Amino acid sequence: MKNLYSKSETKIGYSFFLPAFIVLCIFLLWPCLQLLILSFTKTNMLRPDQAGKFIGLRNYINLYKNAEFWTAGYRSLVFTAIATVVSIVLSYLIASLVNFDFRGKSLVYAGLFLPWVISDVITAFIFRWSYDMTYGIVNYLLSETLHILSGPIPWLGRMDTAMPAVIIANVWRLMPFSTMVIIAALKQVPAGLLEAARMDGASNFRVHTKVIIPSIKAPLAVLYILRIGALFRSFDIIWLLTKGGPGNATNVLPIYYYRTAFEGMSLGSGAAIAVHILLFVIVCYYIIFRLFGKEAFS
Amino acid sequence: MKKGCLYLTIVLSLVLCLAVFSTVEAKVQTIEFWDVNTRAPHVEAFDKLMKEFEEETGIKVIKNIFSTKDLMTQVATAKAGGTLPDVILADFGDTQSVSMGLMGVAAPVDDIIAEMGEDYWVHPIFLKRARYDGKCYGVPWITFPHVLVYRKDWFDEKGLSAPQTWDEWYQVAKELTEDTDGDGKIDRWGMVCGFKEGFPFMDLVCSNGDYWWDEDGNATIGKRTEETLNFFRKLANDTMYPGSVSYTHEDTRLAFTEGIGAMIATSTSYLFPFDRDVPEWFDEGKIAATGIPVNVKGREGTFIGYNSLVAVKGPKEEAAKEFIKFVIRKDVAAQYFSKNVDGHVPALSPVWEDSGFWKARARYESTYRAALESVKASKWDEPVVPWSGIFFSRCGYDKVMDNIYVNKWSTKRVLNWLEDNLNEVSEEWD
Repeated sequence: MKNLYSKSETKIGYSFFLPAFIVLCIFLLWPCLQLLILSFTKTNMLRPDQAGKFIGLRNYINLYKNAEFWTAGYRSLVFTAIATVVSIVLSYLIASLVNFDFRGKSLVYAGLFLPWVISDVITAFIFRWSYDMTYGIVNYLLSETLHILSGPIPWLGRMDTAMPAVIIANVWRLMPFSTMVIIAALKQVPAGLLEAARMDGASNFRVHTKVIIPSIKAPLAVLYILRIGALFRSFDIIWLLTKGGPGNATNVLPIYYYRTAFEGMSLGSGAAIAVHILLFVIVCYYIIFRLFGKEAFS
Repeated sequence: MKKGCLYLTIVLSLVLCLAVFSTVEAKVQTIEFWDVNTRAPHVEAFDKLMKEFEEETGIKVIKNIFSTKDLMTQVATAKAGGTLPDVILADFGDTQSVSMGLMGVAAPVDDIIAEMGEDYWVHPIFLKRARYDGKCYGVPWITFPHVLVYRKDWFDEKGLSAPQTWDEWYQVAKELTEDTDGDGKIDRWGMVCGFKEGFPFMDLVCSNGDYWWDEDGNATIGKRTEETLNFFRKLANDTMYPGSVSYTHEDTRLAFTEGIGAMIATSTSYLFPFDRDVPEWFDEGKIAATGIPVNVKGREGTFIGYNSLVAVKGPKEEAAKEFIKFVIRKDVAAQYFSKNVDGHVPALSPVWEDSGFWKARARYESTYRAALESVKASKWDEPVVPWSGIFFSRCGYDKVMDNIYVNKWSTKRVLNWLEDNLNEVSEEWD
């Protein structure tokens, strides 16, 4: 392919790109490399005499032999997949519902954005008390008002309900941002296109699936990338709600990593877990990139 | 040219002034103290203490506050970055100070211990648990012995007395678990626990003298652990508020003050939030505390959590030790413990003999005395191993409780799980 730019223009182009590349190398690639190196060493904070001792793949072998690593990985996958899909689908529904002019629109938008501006710690406390067996509004609504449950249940204290409860808290926290991005994207869909589709007799469902969603593919792809990245690394809300419990019901990879690296003081083993988190996110990004196609990101 | 000279003179004068001032500043020795206690009474009492130390020695103490849970991470990071403080308040006086010793952060404080004499501390276990490889890495200061707090008014109504053994504990807990309003649903439980921190199970482990490893770090999980697990299962299934599974220690205290349960196993530091939230309970004598009941007489063991003062190795080590000695000095400590957080009781014997201290603590005299008696009677003597923190990060007491009550694991399965992990951790360490 013929180069469209002259040599001097190419050089200028590279010089513009260079500062960003250097910053990336210092703050992103170098720490990743350090993490990788750390994962091949026996670094325990309690044994400074052995810090940095090269042990090859031992940390990885120990990790693969440990059943808890696999179950934590599986839980992370389930948590990320469900929370991502639910948060984006719900965001799309809400965005579609409020994407027209009505009185009090600003107020509704501000209300929708509220969970996003609340800190993770406060979100966790809101949900911890909402789920509480005695004082929680969830139990009150489901058992006293709607009579769906025969009695209150400890949502965060049961193996079968802890993970869904944690997912709901995370979805609530993340949904406003997705909703706002989708609302902004919906405004860019040409009105003429929608009108033409309706005149051709397309049902509402077909308008959404065949016209609107393909038109907002790029922001959706970005949302998927952001969500998967954020959720697979999600720690704060889960830690504050359940600390990975009950048992290991919500012990996802970041919690497992924290316990190993900082409670167990084993930075080497922790780094091996972190490498897997990093690899998983990279693989997911690649899959999304392939699924949505190059044009969504160009 | 003249103008240039004038500017140069001004700049040089400024530099000179700065140099002189910085020399004066440098003459005021400062030490940095890392604190983990954020409660107002402690902050006020400790700030006063720091000022008095400065007046007496000319050494200024600068305080930074950290969360207990982040402390070790902060210490490790500060060590790597060369920004360690000079004195650290270790919240888990035993494990954290020994860990800091292993990390090469804590300086041995055997000279302070020798100067004060070992009797200066209420129980020899305080010092024993801060020692590793013959060196002591922390000076015990505040303690929070665990006690069984109970609703005395409910006990009196039913003619029950404070339980002293596990059997009695189960009986009273069962009797107090009932439907008080007659709607067919239990609305009052014998026990409320906080599964998130695992303290209730730890209390059972201690009160049964249930050691999980010996002096050489070999697993000793066996019959006693089986007894502990089985008793916890019985108590939890029949008498415990089901919401306990998602409660933290603080939630448990809140639930207790709301009248959900009749008993909680907790540390003496409960006095602070309780007297704030339900002061009338103290005025009307509605609650009381007793030592944690034991399984077999003679195996009395109370979990004695305590804060230790750690002197950090380095150029200011001597000043740091001087500060520690000042903090534990009888008159200074008595003054501090008269005004600090209610229920944070002294680990130092001379303070307990101080009349001013007792006068200041008259409102809680019974709990303070119960705490002291239970500490003195405690035979809990778990061997100190360097890898205990790593083991508990895998098999914390909270996880044991969840595995019994939530996961419904059989006792045998829990025992095997504990033993396998323990062997794995100790092997990895070697």
